[in-house]
Order: sequence, then structure tokens, then C-alpha cells
Amino acid sequence: MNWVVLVGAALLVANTALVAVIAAQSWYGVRRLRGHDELVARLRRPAVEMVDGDPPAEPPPLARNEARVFAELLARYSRQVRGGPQERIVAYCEAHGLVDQELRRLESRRAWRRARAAFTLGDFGARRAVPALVRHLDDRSAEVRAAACRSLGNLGAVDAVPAVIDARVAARVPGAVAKLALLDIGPAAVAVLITLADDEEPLVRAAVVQLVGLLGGAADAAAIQGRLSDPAAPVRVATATALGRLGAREARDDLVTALADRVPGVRTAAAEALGGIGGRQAVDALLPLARTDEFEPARAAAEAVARADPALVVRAAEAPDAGPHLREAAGRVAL
Amino acid sequence: MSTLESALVFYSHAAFVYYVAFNAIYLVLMVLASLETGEEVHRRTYLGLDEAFRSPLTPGISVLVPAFNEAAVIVPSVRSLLSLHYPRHEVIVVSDGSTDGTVAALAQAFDLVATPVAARDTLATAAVRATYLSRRYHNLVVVDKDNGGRSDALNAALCIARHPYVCVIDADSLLEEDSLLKVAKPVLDAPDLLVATGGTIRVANGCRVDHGRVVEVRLPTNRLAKMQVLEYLRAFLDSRTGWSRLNALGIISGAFGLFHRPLVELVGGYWTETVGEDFELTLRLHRHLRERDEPYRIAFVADPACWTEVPESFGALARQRRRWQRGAWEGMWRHRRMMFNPRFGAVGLLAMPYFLVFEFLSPVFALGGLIVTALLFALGVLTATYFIGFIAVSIGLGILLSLAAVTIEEFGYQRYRRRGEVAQLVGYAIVEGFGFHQLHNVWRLMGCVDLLRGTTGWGAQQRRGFETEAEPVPGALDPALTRSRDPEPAPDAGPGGPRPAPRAGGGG
Repeated sequence: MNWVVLVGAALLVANTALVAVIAAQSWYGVRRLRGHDELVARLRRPAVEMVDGDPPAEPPPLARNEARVFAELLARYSRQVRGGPQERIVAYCEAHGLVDQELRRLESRRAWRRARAAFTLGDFGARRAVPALVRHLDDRSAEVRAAACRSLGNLGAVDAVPAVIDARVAARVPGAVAKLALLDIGPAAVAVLITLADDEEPLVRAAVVQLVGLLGGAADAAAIQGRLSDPAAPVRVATATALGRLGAREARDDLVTALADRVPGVRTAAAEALGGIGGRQAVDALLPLARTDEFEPARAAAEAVARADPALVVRAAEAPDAGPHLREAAGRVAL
Repeated sequence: MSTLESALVFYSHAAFVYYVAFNAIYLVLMVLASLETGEEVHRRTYLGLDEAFRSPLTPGISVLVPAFNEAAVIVPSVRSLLSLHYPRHEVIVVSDGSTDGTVAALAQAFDLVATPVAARDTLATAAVRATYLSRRYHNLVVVDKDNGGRSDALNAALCIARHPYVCVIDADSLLEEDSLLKVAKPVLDAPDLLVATGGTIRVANGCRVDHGRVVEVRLPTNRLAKMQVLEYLRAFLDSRTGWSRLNALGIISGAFGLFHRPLVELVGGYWTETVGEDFELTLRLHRHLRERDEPYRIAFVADPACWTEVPESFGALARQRRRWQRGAWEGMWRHRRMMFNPRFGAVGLLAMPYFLVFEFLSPVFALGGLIVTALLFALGVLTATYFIGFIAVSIGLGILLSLAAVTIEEFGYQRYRRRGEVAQLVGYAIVEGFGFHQLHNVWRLMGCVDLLRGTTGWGAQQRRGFETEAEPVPGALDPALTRSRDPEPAPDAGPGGPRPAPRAGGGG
């Protein structure tokens, strides 16, 4: 009987303990959530008036828990504002010791605390945190590295561009995070990026060209146009897309040539780019591709024709050999 | 003791060991799930969803909605999908030979116009009758096709999807506004590694729905549906989170899963000869990638939720569970080569044997063992000590696991904020071990009988529709009024069952 009593007692204790934990968490957790929601509702207006008021209001005197929620709100707004409002957020965080507090947390032993601090420093717009964040691109936790990288982007840390690129090349931060950070740093990163367009690693070249397309201006097109003949297909795809984004009319001939690339993805990207650049020569080259049965390039070509010359795509769709893509594109134009 | 008695006593002992092993495995999964949930709660504060939303690099997602006679729920469901918080997504609804006016309801609600839409020829499907685009939402496509089953409908949607990722949703399901972004986030962070992710399915019965969105989470009033709330919590928050942590997630629910489209096309799309197409596809992806030694991950993300209507009658629930049992077998049989095969890693060595022994065969051991043990005790063959111990292990540990699921829900997600509802969940966690689990195993047994009889197909399904104060179902309200009440998802938003493993994760 002993083992039954033991098992039964153990289960009874464990189940009772769980019920108690659930009851406590249900009571405390709901109370905390409601309290937090109430504070957010109450402090939202003072926070907005401090950040974006005309004239900006002084921050209200706050109790400790209110100050925490107020800082949360400021961090959230910081992602959406630039210029004066952001500077006021930075000034508030510096004046109230929030930046120092997060810098201390950045050295915590717990990875989640470091990651949260790295993330928050970006939200606070704390420029003086840049060296510490660059250092944490080598953190042992992937989440801390990603958060540091994201915040360097938020802070527009041009001087951190090489470090971010190094971290990406060494696969220490996810590609999407590094690229977005570089995008956030903005056009100032383009000059550094262009120097890497000849990197021996195809994925680096592709990422660089993609970012130049997103960040650069028409003048930067010439620096990447040669990559349309890169031996690596992902680089050719990225180049075609980038040239389209930059509206590089001088690349039209090369893009038309790329419509015959052996890789469908390159043909698709070239068609999309030509749709943006437009021109009679482009449309003439796109129409035959739109009539083919190779799905992605044909769809991209039909949509590109529709963008460049909507009336033409409607006429072309009436031909017996128009194919499904031109008909779909014409249908969408008609809508 | 006669030979028969000896055999039955041995069977009872085997069932006892089975219960101990099953609950031990589940306890391990629960511990893993608790760790994961704890980390996830912290991670939420630095997830970077805002950045993912505004990034021009975030890939587009095609949301695929197979629908068969879903007129009662399809409009709010599509409305909810169109207004998802995601930078580039399209919604493709495939009416799989519906006869209840599903297409007409959509046409009226979304101002559809018959327009040709090009389709890839990579997957064969039943004939497409017509395709429609919306004048109001250019990221909505509706396909009307001959009936071919859920898999066939999904394959048809895959053929016209334009984005690199597809999210599969049931027509009777509602996603939370940022669910798509949350379920896609791991993929955005590691696109070279993650090939599929799944989110949590939650029970929509009882919730207040307004214009395709769950605005107030409530427990269902129906007792059977309440049981399923608990079942889903246990299956998703305990089991799948745990398996995902082991990188051995065996199933991504057909009601809410995200997949890399080119990979799904490469492996042949959905298998049309099964009623467990989600389980089978997940296994096939594992098999394809493991056979090629490609690094990959299939992950479960617990926070994003998809709310779905669950059966409220015993008949409908029985049909669903019998179908899941068949689906589980069909998937496992097709991929039997993976079972106990170290080449397939944790999926072959842990997840599949678990599905076979602790899910599929549970009627044999769990139900049969309980009946035989009770019978032997009544006949005086087994002692009271043994019998009480058997009950403690089979039912008491089950209660512990269900309470643990409620605990994880309370610490990690807290969707149910009324204390009375949490108390009800606790109550149901205790009572479900006395009857519901056993009944569930009876349905599984019936599923095995269906398999032996060669039963195929999905059987009849009934939709009650979401509980809402003024759901704009076409015909029920003046269309002009309906339109004026729309939350109007941005027209330029883009170019364009549950398988809560009853009692545990899976297969069915």
C-alpha cells in the first residue's frame, strides 16, 4: 500500500500546488495587466505632449511604476518619430538616468536582460551607447547580437557600418536584421557598401547590391550595373531589382539582355525592373516573355507591361496567343 | 489463475507501464514547454515586430483558405484575413465545389469580378470553374473549382500563389491581427533555416467576434467545447512547444501553418489521398530535407493565435476525431520508413514512435487497459492497492498535465482574463479525466475500425458561425449598411483541425 499512498500523496500535493499557482497568477497577473493598461491610458497623453506637443510639455512627476510605463511609452514612440521629438525622448532618458540603467543591464549575466537592454538603448536613441552596442555584436547570445545590431540601425550609427557588415559576413547576426539596420542607418551607409560590391562572397555582393538599390540614388546605379553579369545568380537577381528601384534608364539595354538569362529568377527580376523603367524598347522585349509559359518570368513580364503601358496590355490580351499572364494582367487593369 | 487471467493481468501491467511512460514523456515535454514559454515572454520585449512590419525586405505571404460549404463563416473570416497586420499579403480563397452559396456570399461581400488568373502547372488539381478578383481589395483572389477535397483545394491555391511563403488557414478560423507577423517572424530572422512554422489554435466558440475579429475572449458555454479549450491548450502549449524545442515537431496544424511555397511545390504539394494532409505534409518535409542532409527547422510559435470553431455535439466531435485517427495512420504508413530510423533524427526516433504508440495505439493500451484492470479488480483478481495505483497514474497524472497547461497559459499568454473562467478551466482539468479521455479513446478506436473498413472522406461538417452582435453576413443585412460598417482593410495592402493531438499532440 505504501507506494500507492506515496504516489497518490505526491499527485495530490502537485495538483494542489498547481491550482494554487494558477489562482495566484490569475489574481496577480490580471491585476497587473489591468494596472498596466490603466497606466498606459493615463500616461499616453502626457507622453505625447512631452514628445510632440506644441510647445512640448514638461514631463509630469511620476511614481516609480509610472516612470517605468512612461519610459515604455517613450521607447515605443521613439520608433515612430525623428528630429526634435526624438531628441526630447533622448534628453528625458538621459536626464532620468534611464540610459545609464540600460547600459548597466547590457552587462548583465542573463542573456534576455542584455538583449532587452540592447533593444531599449536603440529605442531611447542613446548615441553614446554605440560603442557598447558594437561590442555586443560579438555577444555570446544570438539574441543580444541581433538586438544590438537592430539598435545600431535605429541610432543611425554610420561608424558602425563596417562592424555590422562584419557581423553579417561572419553569420553572427541574421541577414534580415543586418540589412534592416543598414537600411535604417540610411544613405550614409551607401559609400561603405559600394566598396564591398566586389567582395569574393556572392551572398555579400548580393546583399550589398540589394541595399544600394534600397538606399542609393540614381547616381549609384553605375556602381552596381556591372553586377548584372556577375557569375552568381543571386547577385544578378539583386542587381536587376536594385536597378529597377533606382530607375536606372541607362541600364535598360542590359536589363533587356537579362530577360534572356538562363536563370528564371534573373529574368523575373529584370522584367520587374523594366516595368518600372518603362520605354518602348522595354515593352517590346517584355511582350514575348509575357506570352511564354514559364510562370514567374511570364507573370512578371505581363505585370511589367501593364505598369508601363496599361492600354497595350489590354490590347495584347485579346490576341489568341496572349497566354494566361497577359489575360490576367489585362483583367487586373480592367478592375 | 487461469491462462486467460494471467494474460489479462499481464495486459493490465503493460497498460500501467504505458501510462507511466506516456505521462513521463508528457512531463518532459511540459518542462521543455515551460522553459520555452519563459524565454518567449522575455523575448516579446525585443522581438522587433515593428521593424519587421516596416522592412521592405519582409517577404510576401499568400494566405490560402480552402472552403467547402462555409457560407456561414467565410465572410468574417476573409475580412479578418484581409485586415491582418502584415506588409505584403494576399488572400486566396478556394471554394472546393461548395453548394451552399459560399462563392455568392464572397462575391456580394467583396465585390468580386470573374477574371482569369494564371496558374502554375506544377500540381494537378480538379477543374477550376472560375477565378475572381475583388474590385475593392486587390489582394483577394477567389477560386471556384470542382470538389476534390481539402488537399486538392490547397494545391489549387498553391498554383496561383504569388508570394514565396504560404500561410494555410481554415475557413472557419480567425487570426489575431498580428498573428501572421508573429508566426512569420522566425522565418524572417532565419530564412535559410526555417521552412515552416505553426501557431496555436484556440477555441472561438463563446468568444465575441466583431467584423471578423475576436474582440472578447470568453469560454464557450457548451461543456464539450470547454473540454476542447483545455485539450487545445495542452496539445499546443505543452506538446507542440516541447516537440518544437526538440526540433522534432511532427505536425503543423492545417488550421494555421506557414510554409516555404517552393519547397512545398518541390515535394509535390498536399497529398490528396489522406484526411490528415497537414500531418503528412509535415512528415514529408522532414523526410525530404533529412534525406538530403539539408539543415532546416520546422518550428512551433505559441504566441500567435488562430481562433477556430470546434464541434459542440458528440456526433460532430466523434466524426472529427475518427477522421484524425485515420489521418494519423495514413501519414505514418506512408512514411513508415522514417519510424525508428536514426537517419531521420529526433523525428524518426522520438516523434513518430510517440505518435504510433501514444497517439494511434492509445485505445489499445489506455482504454483497453483501464477496462481490463477495472474488470479484474471487480472479479477480485487484482488488489485494491494496484487498482488505486492504476487510477492514480492514469487519471491523476493526466490532471497534473492539464493543470500544467493552464499554468503555462496563465503565465505566458493569459487570454482568459476572468477569474471565473480560469476557475472553470481548472475544474474541467480535473473532471475531463473521468470520462472524456476515455470517450476520446473510444472515438479513436472507431477511427481504427473505419480504417479497417476502408472508410475515406471527411464526412459531413456543420458550421454554426461566429457569435457576434451584428455579423455582416450577406443577405442578413442591407449590403450598403454592411459596407459602411466594414473596417476597410487597406485596398492597397499588397500586390497581390487544429490537430490538437487529442490528449497529446498529434497526428490526428
